[in-house]
Amino acid sequence: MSISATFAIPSRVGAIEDARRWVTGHLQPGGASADALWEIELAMTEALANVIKHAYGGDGSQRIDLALLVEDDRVEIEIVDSGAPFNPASYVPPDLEVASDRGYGVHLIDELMDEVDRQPAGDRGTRLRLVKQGWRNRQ
Amino acid sequence: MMEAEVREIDGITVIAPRGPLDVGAALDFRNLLTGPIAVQGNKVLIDLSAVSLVDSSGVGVLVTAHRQAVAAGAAFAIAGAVGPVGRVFEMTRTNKLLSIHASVDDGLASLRDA
Repeated sequence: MSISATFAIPSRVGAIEDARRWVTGHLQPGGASADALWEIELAMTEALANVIKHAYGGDGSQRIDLALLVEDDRVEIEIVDSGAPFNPASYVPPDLEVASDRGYGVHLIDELMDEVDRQPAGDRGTRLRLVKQGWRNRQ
Repeated sequence: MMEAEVREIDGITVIAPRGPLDVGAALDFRNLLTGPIAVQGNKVLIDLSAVSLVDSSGVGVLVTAHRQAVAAGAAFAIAGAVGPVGRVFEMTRTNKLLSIHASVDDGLASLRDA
């Protein structure tokens, strides 16, 4: 089984639900486990929120491109923006010993996904690749 | 727009949001909690049984609400955070700060004693 699909949303938090529905619409019929579906939905939500808040600085007039590649035991989601690039050097992981009201997004993405890769996209922007292995119910 | 049911049980305000408690719902949710948690002596239970997904923004609202409630002298607890919703609090370790109960009955019992 192999699925390849693309989708685009405006850079508004209200559109994240549309992206989740799009991914679920492809993965659920393919036998996605409830756990994998939730993990993918949450990681994607965090990634899109980061693009909207940080890369685009809350500018809702921009565009976010998504690509989905589904193979037998592997789901890959690509999220491409043309906003301010993510700077790994400026990222400070959350101190999990002290509860905070912010700063968990990247931590959750890293915990939920098997692979996370960020590359520059074009002159400006970021191509984020999220990979989840073993996404289907075991037969 | 976030949907939520608000009801009173034995003097405890039970707020039950529905659907995703994510970055898109965070502002509405924060506004919904602001009044009830600001009054000394109030008891507020957040019932997450009907919530499909909690992201870091949802966690952030609950952490802030907990601290504001404590500062105001209100009692604040969370119920129904089971399955994936419960895992988010474990992964962020905010379950160490927040008062989280498996069921609404357990949450109500903890607040009756508060």
